[in-house]
Amino acid sequence: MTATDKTDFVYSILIRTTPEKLWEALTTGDFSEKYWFGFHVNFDLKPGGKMQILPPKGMEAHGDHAGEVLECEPGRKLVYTWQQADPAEIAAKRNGLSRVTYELFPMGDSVKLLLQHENLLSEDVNNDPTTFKGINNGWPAVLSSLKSLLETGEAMTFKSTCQA
Amino acid sequence: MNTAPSTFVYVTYIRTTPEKLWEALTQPEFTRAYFFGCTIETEWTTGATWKLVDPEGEIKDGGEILEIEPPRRLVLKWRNAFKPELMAEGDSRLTYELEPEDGLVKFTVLHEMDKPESKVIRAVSNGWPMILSSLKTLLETGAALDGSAPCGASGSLKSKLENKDH
Repeated sequence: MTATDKTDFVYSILIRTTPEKLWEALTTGDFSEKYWFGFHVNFDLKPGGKMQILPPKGMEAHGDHAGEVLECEPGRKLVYTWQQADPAEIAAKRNGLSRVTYELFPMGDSVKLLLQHENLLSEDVNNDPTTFKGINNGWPAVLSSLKSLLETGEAMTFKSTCQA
Repeated sequence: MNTAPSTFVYVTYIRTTPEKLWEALTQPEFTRAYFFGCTIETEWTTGATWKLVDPEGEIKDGGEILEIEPPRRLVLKWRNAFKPELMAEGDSRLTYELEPEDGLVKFTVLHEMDKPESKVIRAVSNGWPMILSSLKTLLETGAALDGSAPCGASGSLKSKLENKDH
């Protein structure tokens, strides 16, 4: 058994938008409700500021992901910690909160968003491709929906079987 | 679950149908728009060879089709054709899976190499997210992202997409 059972998730996506619009969509609850399965993000955008991702009605079991902003450069970079609502045996394995980084790189008429979610456990990855449970399954759906919202004005809705 | 020593996996959700996505993945008028101006030359049957050809006619990559089930699944051998250190690694394996879902397609791209720390997988890991992002924009808005095709190649495919009887 290795000393650290750590895993990371990295995802890159190019969106036809401006850094300002993408930043707003990433950090504002009214936007996030549209593309993030109804979750409402609430950021106090400064180092040490509180962060919450509040669940919609019926999904309170997810908890509010309460974490903290570590770095904040508006329109460029956001780093925050992320708390899962873990069952006891998984909470015991955690070595600190996981950490999410958004980096925004302008590229012509688009912006590349590089997402890194670090300090995860192997349990955070779900190999069942038919669920949105698992960091690896959730992020692509959320970011695909964000991209569609910014490029077409319409976010995506997913079938209810996929609600974690 | 069997995972290859070097793996790149990317899932994206696209507002389209499997048939339209399959067409965009295989037909030259679409691939030129989002895949760096390249086209794929092949007979599209199991066992057929394929090559990815750039606008100057240079072959970038090639291989053999292992499985093909339009419009749901494609598996092929993929080998780089122009960079010695990448060619030396031999064949990687590319899988496309298209899963329809209520007005959307869940598109999974899996690119694997049977050796750890593969340079091929590291190289394609940078390219795929850009190509797939541009493909999604093309299918959802009618125009690919700038920079994913040489001047003039993106054109307007919106009318082609809208008129298709799928």
